[in-house]
Amino acid sequence: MTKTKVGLAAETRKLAGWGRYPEATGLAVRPEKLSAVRAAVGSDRWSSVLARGLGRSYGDPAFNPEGCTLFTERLDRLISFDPASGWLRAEGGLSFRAILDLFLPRGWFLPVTPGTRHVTLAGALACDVHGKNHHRDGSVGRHVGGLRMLLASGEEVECSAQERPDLFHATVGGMGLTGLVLEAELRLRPIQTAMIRQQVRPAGDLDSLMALLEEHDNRVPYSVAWLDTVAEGRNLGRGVLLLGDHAGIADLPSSQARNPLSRRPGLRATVPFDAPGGLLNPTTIRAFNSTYYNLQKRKAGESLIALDPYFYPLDIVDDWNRMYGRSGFVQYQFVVPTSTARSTLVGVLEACARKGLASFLSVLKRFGPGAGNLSFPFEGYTLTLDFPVAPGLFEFLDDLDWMVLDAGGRLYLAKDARMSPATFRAMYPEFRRWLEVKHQVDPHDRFRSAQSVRLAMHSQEVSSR
Amino acid sequence: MSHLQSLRGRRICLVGSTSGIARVVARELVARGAILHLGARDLEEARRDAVDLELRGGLPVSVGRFEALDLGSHAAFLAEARQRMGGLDCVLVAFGILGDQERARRDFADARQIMDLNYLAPASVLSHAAAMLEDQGTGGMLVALGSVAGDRGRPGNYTYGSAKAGLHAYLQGLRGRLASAGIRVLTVKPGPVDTPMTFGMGFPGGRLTAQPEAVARGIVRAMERGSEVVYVPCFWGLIMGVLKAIPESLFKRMKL
Ligand SMILES: Cc1cc2nc3c(=O)[nH]c(=O)nc-3n(C[C@H](O)[C@H](O)[C@H](O)COP(=O)(O)OP(=O)(O)OC[C@H]3O[C@@H](n4cnc5c(N)ncnc54)[C@H](O)[C@@H]3O)c2cc1C
Ligand SMILES: NC(=O)c1ccc[n+]([C@@H]2O[C@H](COP(=O)([O-])OP(=O)(O)OC[C@H]3O[C@@H](n4cnc5c(N)ncnc54)[C@H](OP(=O)(O)O)[C@@H]3O)[C@@H](O)[C@H]2O)c1
Repeated sequence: MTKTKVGLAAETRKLAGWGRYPEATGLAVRPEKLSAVRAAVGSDRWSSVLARGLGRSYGDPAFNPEGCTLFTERLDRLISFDPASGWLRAEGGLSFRAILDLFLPRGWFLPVTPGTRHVTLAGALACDVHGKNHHRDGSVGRHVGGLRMLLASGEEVECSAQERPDLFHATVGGMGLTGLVLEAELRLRPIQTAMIRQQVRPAGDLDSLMALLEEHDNRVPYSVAWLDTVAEGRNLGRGVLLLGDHAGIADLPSSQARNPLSRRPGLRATVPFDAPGGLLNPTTIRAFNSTYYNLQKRKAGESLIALDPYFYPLDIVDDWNRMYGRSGFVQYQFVVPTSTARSTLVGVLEACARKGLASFLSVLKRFGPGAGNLSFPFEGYTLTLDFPVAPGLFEFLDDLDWMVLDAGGRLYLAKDARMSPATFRAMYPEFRRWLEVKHQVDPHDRFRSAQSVRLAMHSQEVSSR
Repeated sequence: MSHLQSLRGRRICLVGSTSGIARVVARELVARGAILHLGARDLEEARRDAVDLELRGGLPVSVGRFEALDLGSHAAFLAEARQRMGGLDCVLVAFGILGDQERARRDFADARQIMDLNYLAPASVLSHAAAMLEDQGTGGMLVALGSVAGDRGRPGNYTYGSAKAGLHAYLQGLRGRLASAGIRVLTVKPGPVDTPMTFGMGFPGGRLTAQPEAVARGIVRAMERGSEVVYVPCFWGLIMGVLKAIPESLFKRMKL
């Protein structure tokens, strides 16, 4: 054990993202106080640092094996809340789960939420996460006001779209590489009930699924499609569109209308150990895909569903990432412009079929306009696929990268464990501009992640030009 | 077992409020409608905690400077707490240090600091708080965080353990003395808890290390029940029962 003056102990931990690939070992600290986080960022006991939230990004963006990883989940205090406008200011380590527990009963919901509530405010911001409402409301950065940041120099600064906008925009989606977000403002959205009006619309092939998605673009706030990656031939790309909107009080049966904001959290379960050989193998995944499609098809129509299972179906099972077994898995998420979407999707699905690869959970969604810089979304279609790590997988994904790149698309850094620096540069043309800002605030690359090292996202590149 | 006492509206002074355990206890308390005064030496942190707790619970939370080793300041600290909350129903003593037994063995000044912070200073706060509650004649509650380490001395941490043992005995005595005044005394004996105190120690059997949220719920439940001694998590009661029963001649040869 090593202790500094502020009593900040470091320990050596096994580090990984949610996909548990790749894994590394490195130093970790878990500051609970401002003095501790300042000391950790400034300490000369390690060469570089990185803030980590709840580790729900998949690949290698949330740990720094060569330096020190700062676990920030205990820096989670509320700072202010304005019930007139919904603006919440809190420390970066506050989780979406805590925000829901505290503010849902008061009639407030997140402006944008990913498919799990176990993310931190700053982690969501650093990845500029998107939700089922991206086509209407954009990504989370659009709902963020001021930030308070701790920079590599030890300086603490405020930034927002108005104040130091360069730093603000480079930090939203900036993967924790511009500095540590101490505080952030998020504008919550008022809701009347904790229920969702859901519509389930099956579609027998890719064309009808895409047509359905586009048809509902401007009509429904939440829309996402689950895709059956096993179906082939004329069923290729069949899936189920899941539409949703917040239910009003009038939508509730009278028994529930008296307590409209009470939550129905549903079941809880946990995966206590690594599934031997992976519970999710090609056979079970194929079976799941077909069964799920037929089940959903029968549920077609409208229903009222509780908010938690609607937004967070996977949160029912703790540690579900262990279902893939020891070697872990990768999530492959790309976005392509609407104009090239159909051909790319067909190409990717056919390539998977040829390879005999099926993805357990495959999600297709429409994005609205993007936010620039390193933020992932832009107008078009995004597809998310899960693959257990296995021999040959990465060569296959390299081939998919080419298809995505050809189509003018890109991969999501929050899910990436393996793309090459060249691919990254080709996919993110704004990287150069982002790097200028990084160079200003962190010229010596004090903030680094395994991912930033792999993708060579270094300030040094600017100075050596 | 007595019925549950509501903590709603109870005015509780947390001494050492920036401790990993106390911070979570504070959240549990405001969720139950208690009114808090936070005593800490790091006022910047305590003020941030106070704002957080006010937003969570909707009730005012005040803050005062508390330095454990300045025994002469304890009475005034408590008087200020009472004044800021408009009364005093409960004092919870949470500060403490684990220290380093190796260093304490080599340098008694280190050992003394462990004793000061885990026994002398808590006893000082408790004695002033007891007098205050007695004077008020309104009953109330004293709570202090001891440790399973105080149940039996071990080579690895007997300086800390002995201070906690002293604190346990002090609380036992107070409990008897204050019973007739309707003042309850609760001794909390946590097992290892995942806080800054233990982070980086690589505790063997990490699964025995509890999360502070679970410990805080245990403490607050014991306060509501009016318990006298509580192990958190409760299975430590069993473990310590067994450990205490081992004869000294055998225990000294066990590598614990
Ligand atoms: C089941 C599941 C569903 C998901 N669904 C979606 C989805 O629908 N849409 C979507 O966009 N994403 C989704 N994700 C990904 C997830 O939302 C993002 O990766 C999110 O950023 C994770 O937040 P975190 O707190 O766990 O951050 P981490 O994974 O710990 O860190 C992510 C990044 O944030 C940075 N960071 C963390 N804290 C700070 C700080 N204080 N200051 C500066 N930088 C910081 C880290 O350095 C890292 O680069 C999903 C993930 C899972 C597991
Ligand atoms: N964690 C465990 O495993 C464990 C197990 C059994 C018992 N306990 C007991 O539970 C209590 C809380 O422990 P914890 O884990 O929450 O510890 P912690 O997070 O390390 O907190 C210790 C607290 O003591 C305060 N403190 C130390 N010296 C002080 C001084 N001179 N004046 C004022 N305050 C001082 C610290 O203040 P600063 O924040 O300013 O440093 C801090 O608030 C302690 O009594 C501990 O012995 C803990």
